[in-house]
Amino acid sequence: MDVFVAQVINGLSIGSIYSLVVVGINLLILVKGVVHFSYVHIMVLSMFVSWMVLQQTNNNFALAAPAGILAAVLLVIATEPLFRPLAQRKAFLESLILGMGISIIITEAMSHQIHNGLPVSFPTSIVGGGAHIQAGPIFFTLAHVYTILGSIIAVILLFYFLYRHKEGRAMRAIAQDVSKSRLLGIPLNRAGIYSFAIGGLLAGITGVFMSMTLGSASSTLGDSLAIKAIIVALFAGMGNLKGGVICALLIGVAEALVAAYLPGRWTEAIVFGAIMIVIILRPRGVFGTQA
Amino acid sequence: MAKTKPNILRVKDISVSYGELSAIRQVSLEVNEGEFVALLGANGSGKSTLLSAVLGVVRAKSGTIWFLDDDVTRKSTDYIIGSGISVVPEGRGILPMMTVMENLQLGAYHAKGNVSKRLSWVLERFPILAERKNMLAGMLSGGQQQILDIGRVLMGSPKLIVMDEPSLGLAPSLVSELFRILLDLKKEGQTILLAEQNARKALQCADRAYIFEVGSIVFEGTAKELMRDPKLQQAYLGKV
Repeated sequence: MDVFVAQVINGLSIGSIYSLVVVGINLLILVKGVVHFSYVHIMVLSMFVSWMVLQQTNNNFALAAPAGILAAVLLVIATEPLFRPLAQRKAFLESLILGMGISIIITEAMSHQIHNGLPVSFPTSIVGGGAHIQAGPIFFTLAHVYTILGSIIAVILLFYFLYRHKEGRAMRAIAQDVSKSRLLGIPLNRAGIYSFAIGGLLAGITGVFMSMTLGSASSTLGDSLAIKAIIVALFAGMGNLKGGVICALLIGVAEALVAAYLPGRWTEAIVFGAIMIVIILRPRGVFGTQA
Repeated sequence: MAKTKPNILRVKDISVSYGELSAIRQVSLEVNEGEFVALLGANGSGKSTLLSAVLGVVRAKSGTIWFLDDDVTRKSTDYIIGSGISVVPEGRGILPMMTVMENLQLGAYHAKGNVSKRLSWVLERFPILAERKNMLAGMLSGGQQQILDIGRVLMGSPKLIVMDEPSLGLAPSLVSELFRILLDLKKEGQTILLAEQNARKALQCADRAYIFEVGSIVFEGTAKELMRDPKLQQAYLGKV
């Protein structure tokens, strides 16, 4: 029972991180019509940036976290002009290839230039040195608390922006109909850059949560996560924001539970197997495309 | 001496080509404050292309366009709309997957001043929209969607309303309703530029009209002239 509860909590933590990643990717799919494969790799790179700042400032996380977030925002915005011509044609496949190319460059940079390619670890002091909360069988570390609460707040803020703010509404309009949005006077290029900026912000925040929960980062982290994130997005329905959040949480919990009760690689086999079945039966994903 | 009305829109010698094909050639027209100007002519005669050029959706090959004495020939669509033009495009500009409220709010994207006051005013004027304000726009009937589009356009307090074939696809009773609303707007001083195939209805509301034929303007004059002269009507508009 203890194991079960612990794994559900772990799963929610991981699922929250997946949901932030999927929301970020889906946002870019919705507003720009591009699949930003390298989004996750930029997130991992921002984790490395945070780590480097930690090294330089004697583990000052208050500086390292914003530095990582800023790095993510700048890097994602930097990729915007590369995706723009593809975005105008809604060229999904080409954008996937472009994203893969960028991800290879980033992975190479991380595996050669930073820390001699060795994985980096984040000291537990950034999450209160292993401090935890316990209530009966339920055991939360501070990392869990920050990650789950933080993700909930981030997603709520994002949805508030998309549904209650003029610019967020404009982004949803663009996602639905570009030519009508143009005739509404919405500046398409500017909105595109904003969506990348928000994507970068989400990536940076996710990177911070990953540093706390995972405690380490390696150059191969990008590849394994990116594939998983795109698959979760497909599973929920490409571009479906709300569906993506729910599916990401479910998959996080499913993964954690399977990992507790079955040996090693069964986790991936079962989770990917389930996704495969769903996609065969419902190619548009569980919730269908579009939020 | 009557005071001349300030000029809102001036188009001079605009030509647009789609590749090798010339769509409109040397078109000049103007719209002054408070006027209701109609662009008439058959399908494909160039009316929509001219409107697309004015709105910055297509690039003119040559010629100049001024809006409120500002040269907007090479400006982007969002600049032009932001300067005070609101558009009801052909087939309507509402977003069916968003609610009535959201569509109206989007109409205020470039609006200056108090948006919620404007919103109340629009909802009061068109109670049908107030009743359905949380409904998805796509669930409204054709006529209601047309009213939503007009409400959306009014949210921006535009200096010029441009409409491209608004009566297309509407039942005759709804067409009458539509033009009744347009006439009300005109009486309130709204400047309107309308491209319409339904020449009779358009002329009943318009002050002046330009007739397009194969990409050029073949007649310009007051609506009264056009209505009164059967020869003109026969030549350019078939039976009106």
